[in-house]
Amino acid sequence: MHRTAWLLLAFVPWASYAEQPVRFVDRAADWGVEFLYESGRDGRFLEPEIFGSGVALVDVDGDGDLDIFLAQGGRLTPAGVEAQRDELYRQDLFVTADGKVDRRFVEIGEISGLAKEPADGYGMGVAVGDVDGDGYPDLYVTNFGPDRLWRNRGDGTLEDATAEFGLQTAAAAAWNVPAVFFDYDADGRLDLWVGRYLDYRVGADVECTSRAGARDYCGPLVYPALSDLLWHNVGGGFEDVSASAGIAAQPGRALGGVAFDVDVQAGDEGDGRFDLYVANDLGENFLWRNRGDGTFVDEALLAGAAINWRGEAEGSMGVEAQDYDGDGDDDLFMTHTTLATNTLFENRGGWLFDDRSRESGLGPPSVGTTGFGTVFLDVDLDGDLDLFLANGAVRAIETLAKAGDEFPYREPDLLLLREGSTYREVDDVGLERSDVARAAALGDLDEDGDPDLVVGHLDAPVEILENRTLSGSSGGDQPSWLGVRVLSGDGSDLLGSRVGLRTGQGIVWRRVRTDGSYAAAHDPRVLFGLRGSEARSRAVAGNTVEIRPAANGRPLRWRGLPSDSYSVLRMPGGG
Amino acid sequence: MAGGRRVVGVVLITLCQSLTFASIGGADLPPPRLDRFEPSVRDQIEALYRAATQETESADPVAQARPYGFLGETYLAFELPEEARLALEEAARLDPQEPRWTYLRALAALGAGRRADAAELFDEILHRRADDLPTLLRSAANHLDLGQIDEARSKYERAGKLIEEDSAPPGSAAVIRFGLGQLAALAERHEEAVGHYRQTIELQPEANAVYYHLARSLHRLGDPEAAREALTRRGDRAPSFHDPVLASVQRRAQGPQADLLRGLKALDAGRLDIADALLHRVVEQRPDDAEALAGLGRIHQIRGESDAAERAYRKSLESDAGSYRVLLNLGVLLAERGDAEALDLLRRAVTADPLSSAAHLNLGLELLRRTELEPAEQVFRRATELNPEDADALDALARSQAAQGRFTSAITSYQRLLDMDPQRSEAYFALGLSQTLAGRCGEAGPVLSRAFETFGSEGPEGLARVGLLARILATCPDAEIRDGARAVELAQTLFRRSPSLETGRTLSMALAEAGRFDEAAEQLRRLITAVSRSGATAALPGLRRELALYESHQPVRSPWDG
Repeated sequence: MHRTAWLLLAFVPWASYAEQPVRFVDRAADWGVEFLYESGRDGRFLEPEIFGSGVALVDVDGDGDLDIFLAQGGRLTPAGVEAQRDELYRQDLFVTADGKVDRRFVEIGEISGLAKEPADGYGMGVAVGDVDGDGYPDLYVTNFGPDRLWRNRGDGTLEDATAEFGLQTAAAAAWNVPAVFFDYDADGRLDLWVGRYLDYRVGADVECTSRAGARDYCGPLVYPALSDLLWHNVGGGFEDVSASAGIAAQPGRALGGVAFDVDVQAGDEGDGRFDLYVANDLGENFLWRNRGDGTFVDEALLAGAAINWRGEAEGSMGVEAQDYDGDGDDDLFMTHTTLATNTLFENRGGWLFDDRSRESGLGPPSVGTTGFGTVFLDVDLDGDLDLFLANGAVRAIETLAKAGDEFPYREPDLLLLREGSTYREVDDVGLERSDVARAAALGDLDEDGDPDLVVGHLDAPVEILENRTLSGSSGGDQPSWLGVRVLSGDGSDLLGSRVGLRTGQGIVWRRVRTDGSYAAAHDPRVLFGLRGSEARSRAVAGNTVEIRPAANGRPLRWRGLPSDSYSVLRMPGGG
Repeated sequence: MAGGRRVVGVVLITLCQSLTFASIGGADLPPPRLDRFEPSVRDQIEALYRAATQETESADPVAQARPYGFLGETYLAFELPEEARLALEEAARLDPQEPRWTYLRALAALGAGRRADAAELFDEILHRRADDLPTLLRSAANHLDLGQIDEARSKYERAGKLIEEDSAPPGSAAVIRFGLGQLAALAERHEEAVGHYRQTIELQPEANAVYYHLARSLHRLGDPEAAREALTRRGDRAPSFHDPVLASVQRRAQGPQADLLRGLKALDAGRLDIADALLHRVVEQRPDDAEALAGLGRIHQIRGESDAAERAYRKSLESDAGSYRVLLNLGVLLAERGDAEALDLLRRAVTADPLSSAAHLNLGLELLRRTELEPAEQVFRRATELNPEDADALDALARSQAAQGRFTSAITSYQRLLDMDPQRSEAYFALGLSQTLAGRCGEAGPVLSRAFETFGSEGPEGLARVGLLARILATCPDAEIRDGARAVELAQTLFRRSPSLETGRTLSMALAEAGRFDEAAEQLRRLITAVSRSGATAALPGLRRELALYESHQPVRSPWDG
């Protein structure tokens, strides 16, 4: 049974849609974010130096707009890490002299509490979720070195709750990169998966060389793999259930992870249990099927999601799960090293995935680059999902080395636009900068309804890519977008719940998530683009949105949500 | 006039030749970077490079193309695709009619991930030689990679007809079946795909990579159990055919030099099985190859096969007695076994590379194991000079100083170590202990308190830190440091978790400091009884002295002797 909640019924006149050129502009300096991830590289070629740069977009101070958390590196020594403090940039609005509202980001590490604790980890990734159900998003920062849980006190400050929550263990102090908050046992509390990369120690390095014989970073097979960690949230603390859940049985080299219910299909609510997909570097990827009894079993190989269509394991880095083809289930996309194509696994239902990298056009453009962060986003708000790729090599690029580049790993990022059923690489959209990109986080930083991106780089300034596509629009008062934030009764983002926008052709589904990409945490709000032909039928349907909460909670439907603004939809009950 | 014309003719020919030389004179073909290759391989490539780029008197472009082509092949064989591309482009420019150069260019393009370029080059060959089977097969597979399904199908089908009509390279039929199977699977015709895959396996049983594809189609046909069974037989050998051009390329890089190069690369990449096979092949042909033997030793050492590792290292040293790396590896291997020869090997490693902090560190550790404390300290000191950031060397230096009773020096070293790495939890105990033994328990208390707050009391190190802290809080002569209540709290926890003579003794000391002399005496009496029963009577005089103090309501004022 659906409960129908009637909100504002918006009548939206239709104006003809003309294709708008996609354009990004880097606003980091304008907006006051002058952050540079320091890898500390000094010619010793220590493996962690070529990873890192975590980014999270999260409303830390609860004022409704996104703040930016940036993990910092440091310098690696045989004895450990000379770490530097991570940074937190609060978004402040102000009115310019000509009466316009603009924004500025202010680094608040000192006043937020970040500076209270000594930095002891070399920053890798960030996950965001409300671990204590108080309505304020908390942050879990993965490091080479001890990880850290920052509890959000709700007043714009953070406190280190790592020990209090039982997360201060040797296992959590290894080399961890991805982390995902998800409620695997449907008890209303967010559990935590942490992906571990290599069993590596500074001082026990293997010397590796590039094709040209120069010293270079090694491939991942040189060092042993580690198994991942699963932490069960027991309320006020976490218990390590990696072994009993079965997760510890398989070592991998995890660099990416996403949690979603694989059983969900269009019109089918799934089994209400979150499964977990893990992208491993040069190993078979895992698809942990949640058996509902606290245990997981890896079904990736049988499901066709462990290796590519040729039957080869690839060097997976970042991973994304979204319904790229609009058929109601989440598909998987992962980035890979150069010479391998990125891979799209299309969800065919019944725990079967097909490698559609070639047919979709997503594979071939990536063969010359190494992808890390990746996100599906409706960049031009035409209703379908485009794809962004943050690129940067892990082995020296010979042509750059020969040209004298002192950091010859730079590659340009990539945007692929969906056209019909395939993707096309687009140039001249403001992504010409060539650096060593890693994390890519998605969110509407300027609240204008189009998705912006924050991209972390190694030894180069962070990039804040403001999406200017909408501002170039000349569509008058045509509806362009619809934004939704889904909260539980206690005010936490309902991660994993699904938001469906009714259209004349069916329902377009999006998942509420902060996970995916590489070392990043996204804006949990869901955006629907309303431009293009699909918009007519959406306007007819009166912006009806259906929410399917995680764990088979009661679905709810809202009608008449206003276009061109965000609606906050609060589901009954806690958790 | 006739003579004049002849002269003009000669001049024209000479001019043409000069122009040709200028255009192929190697100016556009940069010399390769061959640093990583061993001398014999370098010589081989450099000879080919010189042959290709030197001026020649031949005006025959076909002849001129050949050395470029051979050079390109060699580059390909040694995995230098960019260099191969340039050389092969030159060969193809000089002799555009020769399909071999085009084919090799396509292979180089595939190696560099330029699949679209490869497709064009394959088509260029097929335009002239439509029935060239290797080209058809490679082109079809490349189309599959590019998602060009129709093109792949038409080429596999064409190849299928050719093998019906003519004798084909071995393996062609299996490759075609496999390709047709993948095409059928892509079109969701899984029954047909299963048929193709089964035939592929019949034709080429060693092609165990096919089982993955078979499993996928079986699963799609609704038979997950058969799919699971197929997955258990899955491997990484894809169907292959005999490709004469590729075989000639591979022959160029055959032989011990190439195997050594590939073997050491595989070892670098952690692919031990591949490295093992390649390096064994080198040793079969060159039994005294020191580098190959050293590599094999390393493989055995990583696998924990210490006897085999030792044999390989010793054989390597027979050929190259001064190899620092082999001396160090073998020295460490023998030291782990407690073998006396380790010391000599590690000394030789230090001699072979006097600037290696790793060699010094390992030599020092061996000296420390033999309780040759002063020489060990000197060696560790040198290791820290060579690499001031080597925390392990600094730690070892501190330990060697403490073991000699030179606590002041040990304290300085531990403090340096903790400045360098505050996360080194075990060093706090060692520093605190050194300070206590140096009579500076006033300094040790804060150090151990900080460590306790940071690292807690987990594990044996944690317990040791807590024990020492409790004892200092109970007995330190410095009244500002003493804290009886906290000492009792810590000592009680410690004794509960790890009851022993020393933890029980600490608890008594703490109780006495808290003014609870009767409980302290009672605790100590129980200990004395237990110790007497166990026969460890050496501790009894000290315990009885402490008991006498408690009975007269006096606390202990020294952490180590009551």
